[in-house]
Amino acid sequence: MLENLSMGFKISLSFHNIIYCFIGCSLGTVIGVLPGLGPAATIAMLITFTYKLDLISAVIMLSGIYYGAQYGGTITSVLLKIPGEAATVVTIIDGNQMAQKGEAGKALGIAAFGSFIAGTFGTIVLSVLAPPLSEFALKFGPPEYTSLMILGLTLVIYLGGKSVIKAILMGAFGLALGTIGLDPVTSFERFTFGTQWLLDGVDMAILAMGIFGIGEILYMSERRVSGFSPYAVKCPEKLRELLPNRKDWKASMKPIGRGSVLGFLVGILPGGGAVVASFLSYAAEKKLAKNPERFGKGAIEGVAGPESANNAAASGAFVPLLTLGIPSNVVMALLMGAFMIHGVTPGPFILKERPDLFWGIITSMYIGNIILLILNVPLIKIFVKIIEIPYVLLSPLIIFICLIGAYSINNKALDILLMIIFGFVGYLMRKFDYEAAPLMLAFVLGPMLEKSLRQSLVISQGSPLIFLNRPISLALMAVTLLFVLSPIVTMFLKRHRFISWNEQVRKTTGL
Amino acid sequence: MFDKRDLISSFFLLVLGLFMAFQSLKMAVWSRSGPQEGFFPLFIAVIIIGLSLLIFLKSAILARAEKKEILKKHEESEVSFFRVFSYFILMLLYGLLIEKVGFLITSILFLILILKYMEKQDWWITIVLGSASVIVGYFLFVSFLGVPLPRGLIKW
Repeated sequence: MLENLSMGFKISLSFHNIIYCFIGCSLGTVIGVLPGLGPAATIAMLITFTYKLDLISAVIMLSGIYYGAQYGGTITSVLLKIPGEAATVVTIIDGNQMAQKGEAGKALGIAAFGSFIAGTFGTIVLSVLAPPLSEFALKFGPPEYTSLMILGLTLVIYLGGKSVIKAILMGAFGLALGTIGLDPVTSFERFTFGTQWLLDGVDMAILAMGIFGIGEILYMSERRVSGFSPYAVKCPEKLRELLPNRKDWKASMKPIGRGSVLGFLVGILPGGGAVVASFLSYAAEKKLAKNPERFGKGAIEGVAGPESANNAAASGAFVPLLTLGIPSNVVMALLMGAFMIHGVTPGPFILKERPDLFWGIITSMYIGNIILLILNVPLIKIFVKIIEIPYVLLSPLIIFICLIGAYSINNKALDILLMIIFGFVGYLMRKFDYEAAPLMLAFVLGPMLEKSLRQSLVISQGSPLIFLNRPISLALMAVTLLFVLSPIVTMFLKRHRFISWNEQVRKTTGL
Repeated sequence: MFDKRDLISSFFLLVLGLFMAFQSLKMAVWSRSGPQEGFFPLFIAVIIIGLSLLIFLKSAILARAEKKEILKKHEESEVSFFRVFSYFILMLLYGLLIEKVGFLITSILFLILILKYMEKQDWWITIVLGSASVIVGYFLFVSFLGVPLPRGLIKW
């Protein structure tokens, strides 16, 4: 273990990787601060840039964006009552209240420290868990992978938004988009309408830039945006104001601890992720608190818990990708795309064949969390300044990068048009209330799922029993069934409460 | 609760599902060696058709039952679909013209139209931000990444 870590640190502590980590974390924080632009769209846009970079550096930077965004979103949530990131929506409830009472520094400080502790905790658990999990995953054959992906898709759909039917429809739509191109087994051309262009299928970056980038821009373009939130609070001036005092620490330690563990576990689940983790943590803290009436009026536990949870979840999200090769959320799906562009297929073999990649990435997360702590405590004022950049200047830039980025993938203007169409689809999805995450994940998992499904059926010579005959596969199928059938389980996962919390938060923040 | 959006969206999804089913039936679905290329798409299409029909019928029944004003989930005031549509068209034009007219001209035109006319910035900002974007874009993509951006009418 120690040799692995030292090998990893040798890589991640190299000068250029530290720079890339820094760029990623800073960019991530900025993205987190800016409402509307999220890590998904940014990473999609940057994937084209990573062609030139070495894979390790590219992933270090892109990962930095992801967990950095969890730190950044807190700033606007606390100071402006606007969520920079979906995962920081919950922080608004108590965080902004604290700011209104003049305790913005404490809220931001405890959020940053909690995030650091949770992020580091998550990374440690990742370092410990990943190797044995990879070993275990080596036993997986096509039937196991099929069952696993079915479970993953089921979770994404169930843990999604309000309507399960709509989520399933989006998943199906994603699977449909994934079928465009060559059939993975027989190489038959599907849905290409006779063109050469679609032979390789729809490019993931185009889909992501379209739905998350252009789609978001179109949505924001509905109204002329100007000025700030009326709930704006000034940023604390001195560093001392950002340090929570003893009483705050005492109150926050347990929420941070619980948030870290809860967050990491939820992060591992496909479809779980930072958002769900933050909601669950808030609900848990409120339940466990001595005087729950304080929540909603500026209870520091309501900030410490969720903020820790979302960062731990970000670490947990890497587990399925690095050990099993299955992305747990949209960002991981994009990272997987980045891997494949460089010719590496993520999965259990990474540990054996590219330990430098594996440990380089994991150790970079330790470094990233430290960088983010520095950025978010003493340097926080810089990021606050960024909020002041009028959105009207940023959106043309974002569109422009997306447009050229789309072109640069294959040197085809058709890709630009396709991206814009997806942008329109993304916009419609927003307006008609359909979730994007099931679509994206199904799109990525679809071809993989179909391939292993058909391979399994070839092995079993047409018998679907193969999925039940093998123990691991049986177990996975059983868990899937449990989710689908048991309302108790889904209620326990607090979809109910998640939805009602969701509604409550929306009412509070007026979103 | 009747939601007009569900009615419309489910209808389109239904059409999509039917289209997909139609196309996949043209392909081989099953053979002795197991599922063929049409199997998965057909399966997906059936799911889409089934669920979208479900939503569609539910909305239609509710619409009949309620006969009231359509419940609007978001405030419709201040929402300018004209703006959305304009952005959409402008982006499409960019994509359609970039190969014929070239990166430089198309980008400059695009940025001017957006910054000056859509976002109503003054000329100063438009020119500065516009040229900065094009220059940075050029350096990032052409110099750093080596992506050949179309030259179009100007031969640089």
